[in-house]
Amino acid sequence: MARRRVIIGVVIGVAVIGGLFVLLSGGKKSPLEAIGIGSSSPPVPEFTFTTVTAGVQPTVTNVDKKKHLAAAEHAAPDVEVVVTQLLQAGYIDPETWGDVGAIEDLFTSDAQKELEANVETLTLGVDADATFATVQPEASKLKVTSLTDGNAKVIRAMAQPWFSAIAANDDGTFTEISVTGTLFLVHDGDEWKIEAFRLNREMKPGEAPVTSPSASASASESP
Amino acid sequence: MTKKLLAVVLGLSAWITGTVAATIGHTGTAAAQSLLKLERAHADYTPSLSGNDPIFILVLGSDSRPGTPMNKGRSDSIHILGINPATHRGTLYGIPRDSYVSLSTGGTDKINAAMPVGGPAAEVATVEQLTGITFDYYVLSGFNEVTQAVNQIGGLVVDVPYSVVGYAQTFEAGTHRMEGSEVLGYARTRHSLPTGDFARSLNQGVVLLSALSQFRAEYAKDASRMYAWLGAGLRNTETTVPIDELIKLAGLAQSMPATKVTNLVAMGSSGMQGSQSVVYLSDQNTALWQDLAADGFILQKDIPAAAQPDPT
Repeated sequence: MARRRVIIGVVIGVAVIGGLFVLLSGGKKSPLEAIGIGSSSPPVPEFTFTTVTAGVQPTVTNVDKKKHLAAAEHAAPDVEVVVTQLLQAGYIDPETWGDVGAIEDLFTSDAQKELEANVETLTLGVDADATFATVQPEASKLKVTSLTDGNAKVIRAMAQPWFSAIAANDDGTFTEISVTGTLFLVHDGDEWKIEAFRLNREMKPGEAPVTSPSASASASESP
Repeated sequence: MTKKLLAVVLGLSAWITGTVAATIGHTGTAAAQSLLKLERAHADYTPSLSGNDPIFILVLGSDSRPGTPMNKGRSDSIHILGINPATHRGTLYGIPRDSYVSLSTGGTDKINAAMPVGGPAAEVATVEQLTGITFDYYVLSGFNEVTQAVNQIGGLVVDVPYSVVGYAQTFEAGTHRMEGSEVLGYARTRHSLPTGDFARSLNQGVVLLSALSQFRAEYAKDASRMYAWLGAGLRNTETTVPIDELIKLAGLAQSMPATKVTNLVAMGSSGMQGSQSVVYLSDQNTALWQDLAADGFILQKDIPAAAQPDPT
């Protein structure tokens, strides 16, 4: 009789411990996975734009167009870094999905006040890890247009990303993600900061990723 | 035997518990998946002018011909643009170029005579002296510049309130997409208008409000259009509005439809001063300018009929 009580007690104890493992792992992992046995998190992909295009919008007439375009081409990589960081933290890295703190340094102080209200689009969302396991970037492109002054100095920049990715969902299906729109950037010290934004995100059922993007760059002139 | 049984029971218990619990967890995830909104999400922020203090911009059109600097021509188009950031209201108050007033550069003459002498600053000072309004900025453009700016944004849709017989063409009432030369022709037409310079000034306000409406529509559809407008605007104007402020004005424009911007022209009567035709401004304007100076706008209900002359 006493032995039976011990067995029942042990069974209940194991059940409780198993339940705790599941709770602590967010319901995604088995008890063994929860203690780090039998699985490991896949490495986080590194996002880069496949194509980056530079354009220029002079604010004065009768300019040396080549000189202004050269200034725009020089500025584009720095702007690209900011947009890449935004998409890497907001969409690719599961650790920072929905995390305003991970992206706020990319914005001006005024724009930072608007991040909470827009976090569901600037990132995959605060509850993204309840649905998605990983996000794999697909071929994406970026157009950077610079406003230049009479001295061919870039005074503002506008980034138009066409971001594409495939999310592996927790239930084994896939979701196609695209982010498009416009980011307006201003020089803040030695860095570019996003001062305004208008982004759209679309999601639809997708298929497993098959390609791995690589980066290249080209330039063109805006009207 | 008992130990073996205990071990089996323990193992089974752990496996069942873990599996059941993990299944419950995945069921929750599946529910979350079904709740996931796959439609569009949208993020939107543009810095905007804020605060209770009104902003005043003097919008000037120079009559300078090619080869002459804009700021050395006469200011044949004069509009006070008042903006109230808090209420998202504004007012365009046109002043006929023939208005006979005291000039900041000295003496009394047509109001457009100040700029050839002292540049835009003198014109600003003259209008400040006349109205009691202190301007934050000015924007100056010219014939060629207006034409080019309109062409560079791809034309301007103007809602023509009544038919106007212009110098080169007739502008029928209704909505028309105009090229730069057409916009200039419409804005310059005076002789065929029953109230001459007064109606012309009002029509120039119509063009400015059309630009506001079109910018709002284009920016709402594609935010990148902001740079096309900024580029075209800055290339074809001389202005003291800083780029930071321009971007905030663009942001404010999103919440300020043209219907919240009243368009009126200074009241007065035509007369002769020596051999030249002039406009004598009415004292009625003083109360309206005080109203405008106070908060940056004048409500439609407060505008006398004479300030929006009926061309028919």
